[in-house]
Amino acid sequence: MLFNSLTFLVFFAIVFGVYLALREWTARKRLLLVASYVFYAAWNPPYVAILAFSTTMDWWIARLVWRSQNESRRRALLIVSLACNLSLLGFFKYGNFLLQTTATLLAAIGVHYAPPAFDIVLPIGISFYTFASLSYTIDVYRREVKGDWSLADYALFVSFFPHLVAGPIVRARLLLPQIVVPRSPTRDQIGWGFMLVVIGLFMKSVLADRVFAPVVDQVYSDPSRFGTLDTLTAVLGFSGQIYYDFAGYSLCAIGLALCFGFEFPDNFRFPYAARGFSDFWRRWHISLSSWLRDYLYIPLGGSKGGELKTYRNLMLTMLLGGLWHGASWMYVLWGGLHGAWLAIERKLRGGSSAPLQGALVGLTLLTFVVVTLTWIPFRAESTATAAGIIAGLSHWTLPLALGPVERPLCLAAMAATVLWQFRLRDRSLEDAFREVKTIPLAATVGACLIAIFLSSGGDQRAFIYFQF
Amino acid sequence: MLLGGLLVALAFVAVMELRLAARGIRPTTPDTIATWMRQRERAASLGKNALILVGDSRMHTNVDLDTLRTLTGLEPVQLAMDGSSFVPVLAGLARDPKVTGTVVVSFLPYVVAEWDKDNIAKDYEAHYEHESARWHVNAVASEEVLAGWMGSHLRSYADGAAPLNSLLRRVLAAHPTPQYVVTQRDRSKLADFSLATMPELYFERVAREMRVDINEAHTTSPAGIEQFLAAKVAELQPVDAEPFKRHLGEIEAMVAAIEQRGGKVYFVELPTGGLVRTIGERTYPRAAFWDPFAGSTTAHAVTFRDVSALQAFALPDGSHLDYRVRPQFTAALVQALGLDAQPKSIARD
Repeated sequence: MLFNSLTFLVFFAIVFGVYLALREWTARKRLLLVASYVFYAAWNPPYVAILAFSTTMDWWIARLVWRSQNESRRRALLIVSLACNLSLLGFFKYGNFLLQTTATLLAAIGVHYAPPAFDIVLPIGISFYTFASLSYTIDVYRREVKGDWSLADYALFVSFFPHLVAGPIVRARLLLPQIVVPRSPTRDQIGWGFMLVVIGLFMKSVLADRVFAPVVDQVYSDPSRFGTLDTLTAVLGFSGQIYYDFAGYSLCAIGLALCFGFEFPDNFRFPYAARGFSDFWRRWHISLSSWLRDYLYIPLGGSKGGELKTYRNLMLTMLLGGLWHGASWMYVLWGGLHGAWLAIERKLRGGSSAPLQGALVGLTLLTFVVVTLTWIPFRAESTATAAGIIAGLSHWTLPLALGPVERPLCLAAMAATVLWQFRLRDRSLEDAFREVKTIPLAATVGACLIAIFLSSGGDQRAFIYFQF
Repeated sequence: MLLGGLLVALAFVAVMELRLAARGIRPTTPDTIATWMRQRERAASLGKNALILVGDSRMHTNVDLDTLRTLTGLEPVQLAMDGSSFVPVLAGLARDPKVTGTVVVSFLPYVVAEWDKDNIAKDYEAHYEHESARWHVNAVASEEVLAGWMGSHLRSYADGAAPLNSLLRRVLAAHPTPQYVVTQRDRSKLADFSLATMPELYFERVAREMRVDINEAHTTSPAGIEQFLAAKVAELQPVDAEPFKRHLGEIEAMVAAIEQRGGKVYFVELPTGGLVRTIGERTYPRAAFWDPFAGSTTAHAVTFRDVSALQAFALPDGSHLDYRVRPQFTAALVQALGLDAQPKSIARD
């Protein structure tokens, strides 16, 4: 069930209405728990069992870890939790990928191996709820979070539908205390929550899906058909698409949670206004980058073990961060490139973590350009497609195959995005909106809703095909 | 503030709907991959009672399902898709052990010649085969119901359009795109050519068949455009028949797979007219395409060129029938294929 679907609109209207009607906190929590499982089941009912299993197992192990005073036992329990979670993730998300990679490697040394073709359906959101769950057991092990929450509260933390399938990856230490304390959403929270949902839907449905995606999909499906300008438009367009798609979805999640009185942290903070790559990763998918920092980079040793080890840790973290996005070597390549940029930046800064100085506009643009080019392997389904895109950018060719409106619209939207992010880079969205007066704000909401309606539904080929 | 924005948006939608209504646009049932999949499931579940229609827009518009039902005693299942190839769907039906009914295929030589070309039918059939084994009562099903409800009640979604297209081409345009094709719940499409702009629509169809730009005519006079198109048609040469012939064995294997389960397959070349027919005859001449195909298949194959009753109908755009003559055409088709005699035990020979 996607946030930008009619089914979700009906689902949310019912859940929100009943939530407000209930007065007792436990009843409200149970409602949200049941609703969250219904939300998940709406995609594929049998897979609810995986979510329930993962939740119960982590809750139970964390409880044992919390109660145990024996360090060896605690460590063993943590390892069991890690192994179970990562095995689930590995089987469903990386099983076929590992088999195919093994077959390729064996073929390289002349051994023929035909891996069995498993038709494994990836449980939606497994990467998100596994990481949320893992953070809990690790935090309990580190004694940073209590491990004696009720199963129902813990299950709500893992499955709370606003963050369940696409994040943000909310930590137990942030959400569980909110679940325990009775709360009722204030009028301001509901108002701002809905505002975020409207903005998020606008970003996702209008900008990502209608302005950028059509251009990107065309060019990446066959780069050889397009000239330099079209390829450049698509490469820039993907920067817009991925940002508005994911940031829009995150804003919806944050807004929906707020409507129920729960506060989630920001997941994106004007990333295309970043000055350098470490700054970029403080602004892009913050819940993942901070997760990787706290549970991977720092445990690996962070920057404490000397220069070479720091680079190794950066690279390992980013490679695994790339792999987290999907079972493809292209994601690993994308992660590796970001690891390299972070290492180079660190070298240039002489090991300091202080913000980069210099011509700020130039630095921002340079970061944006490199980040944009680094998206190429992320979007390309194969090295051949990535090479085709890079070739298209590398030597000037004229064919203009994109539509007369698509190209300027895409480029203008991207230019506006960079300018907007540059202007707001040191502020929050809430601050920016607070300055807008009521009538212009209502007009903005109205315009967003109209744009969402206009871009909704419809077969894009409809007007072509209904003429046969 | 939110309420104000919501009211602005609702007012906008209301004005747009009123404007569309004033311009004679009616809501239509959306024809989506979900509706196609539901019909594809029927093709399997109806067993021998299924009369499965496969093909392109001609099969969509020319065949009246009620007439077909009455005359054959079978239950029609509309699997045609605009602008698509019959090959992936026929292949899917051949692979599906549950399909044991009667299959009527609208035959187009070019889709066999362009065997591997991507087209929507390939995507639909692959999606069906991937999804048919999965759970059905889910958000996708509910979304289909809700989107279907919205589509069949709001004129902004008429003909499967996104409201933005409706706004630009039907609300704001001085000459709104006419609604001359309406999709029915059973996926058949009714073409009302009295609403279409003629002969422009005919010229566009002829130009699209040849993949030429009509603007190259450099004239707006109908006679001038027709002359330009006729000259282009005269330049056409027959396409190489070898790629076509290479795949005839594969089509026959599909036919054999369905027939081995007790099913029947019929191929029909639906009528074309005017320059559209001339294009077909010049590029895919009968002797090089239809005749070798008809000779190679054990299925019953009928071309409109051999049946005068199928040629007796006007084709306003050179390719499709007006909805008013569909019942009569369907009766002629049933007779031409021999589907009306003994529907449950039709002998091919």
